Amino acid sequence: MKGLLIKDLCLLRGQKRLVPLFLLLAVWFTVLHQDGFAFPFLGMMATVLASSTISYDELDRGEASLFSLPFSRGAYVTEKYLLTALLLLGAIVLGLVCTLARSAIAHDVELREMGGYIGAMVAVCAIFAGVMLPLRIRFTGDQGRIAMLVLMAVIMLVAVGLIRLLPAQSEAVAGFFTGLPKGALIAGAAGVCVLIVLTGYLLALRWIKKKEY
Amino acid sequence: MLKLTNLQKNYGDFHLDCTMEVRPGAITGFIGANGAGKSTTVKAVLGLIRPDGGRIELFGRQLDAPSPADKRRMGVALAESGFSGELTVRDVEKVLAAFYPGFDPAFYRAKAEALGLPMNKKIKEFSTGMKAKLKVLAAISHGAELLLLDEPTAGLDVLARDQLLEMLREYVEADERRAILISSHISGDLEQLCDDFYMIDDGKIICHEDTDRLLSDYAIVKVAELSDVDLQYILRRRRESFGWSLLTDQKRFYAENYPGLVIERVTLDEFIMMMLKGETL
Repeated sequence: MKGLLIKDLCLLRGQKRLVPLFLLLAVWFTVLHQDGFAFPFLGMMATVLASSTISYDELDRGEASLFSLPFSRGAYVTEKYLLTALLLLGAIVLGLVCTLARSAIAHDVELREMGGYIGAMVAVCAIFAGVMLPLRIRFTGDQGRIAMLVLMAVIMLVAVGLIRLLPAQSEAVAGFFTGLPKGALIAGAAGVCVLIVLTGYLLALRWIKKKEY
Repeated sequence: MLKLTNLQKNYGDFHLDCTMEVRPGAITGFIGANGAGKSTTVKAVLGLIRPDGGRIELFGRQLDAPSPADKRRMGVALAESGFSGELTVRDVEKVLAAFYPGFDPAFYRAKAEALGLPMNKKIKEFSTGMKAKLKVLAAISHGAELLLLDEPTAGLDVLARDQLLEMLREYVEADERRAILISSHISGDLEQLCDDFYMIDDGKIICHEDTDRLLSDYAIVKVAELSDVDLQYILRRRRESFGWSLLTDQKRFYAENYPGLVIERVTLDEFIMMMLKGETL
């Protein structure tokens, strides 16, 4: 696991040219006072970066050599989730630094809202990673990206379709959720995230064991 | 150290059925045309593909796929697959050090310098030969007991090949328990290096022989007509402009009984050609 993490961090170092861009965007969002958007954005970028290491592993049929190293296939999947969590943590720290900096300078940041921003960021990223990582592991190269886009499109179509075709029922569902106590809503959202991540993780474990290199 | 018994893998029309053994202290060559099944066999041993049948015994234990502990005792260099091009030789050192308790950084760095591998250059900027050298270096730098090398000399010039083969020779001589299974389409490499070799054709092992015996007992007998000699020790025949080339594993028999015939020492290249292209009698 340690060796895989070192490898991935070395691979990500090659993308250091993206760091100034992330910093710039983080600062820009902070200046614009878009904290609610900045956190999920940084988190999504972190998740995409983590999954990009799978593409590097696949490059030039490198997976055969990689999987000849002494680790189990399960360890590979676990490491990708761990890397995503680490990068997400980095994104949270970056987001917090920017927000606290604005708070110190402009005194117009509601620090109590930070928990909500971070929670939303973790939830969005957990769902994104929970769907993307298993798909990237299941499908090789462009197939993985296509599968992800297809899935996203299907989810969007179903959601929009339901809202358009069943407006009354959709409003009732939305009303039900907004009427829930805040604690129950957070607990429910956390439960859904955990379920998605766990299901994705188990599917990834199952799929990687069937792969041949 | 490694024993395969009827190891099977099917891909459409291709059927691998491989039985072979790599003994401790031996360098075993694995020869065959492209697509004959060499890489498939190596990948099955490494658990990269799932065999459809047969038995794999590694380090005295039967297994479906090697565990991480088994893989720590192996060094691997695969054809057409290597470290990510985004890594440097120094990155590979860090990765190997984390994976293998027996990794020797001093050896790795010294050999990298000797092989002309820059530590901080990205692998994607390396030539084919440099990539091949790095793969072999990574395989031999952690004291592995068994090396699985699939076409390790591909893309290397003569001098680099010689350098690498010398490293492999030294590697086995340093510890009598060490063994190597090496495939190469450059038969000269195997002739110099191997104690024995297996030949695979269309997924089947068609020959296993000691290299010493090949060089001492095998020969090409050249005749105008097939009726010129006793054919009972002839393994393959091939039509030539002058008549027939005949492969035998009983050179002495023909030398003693047919002193007037042209009997030539067989090289591994000629042996491969006769086994693959020659007709059986």
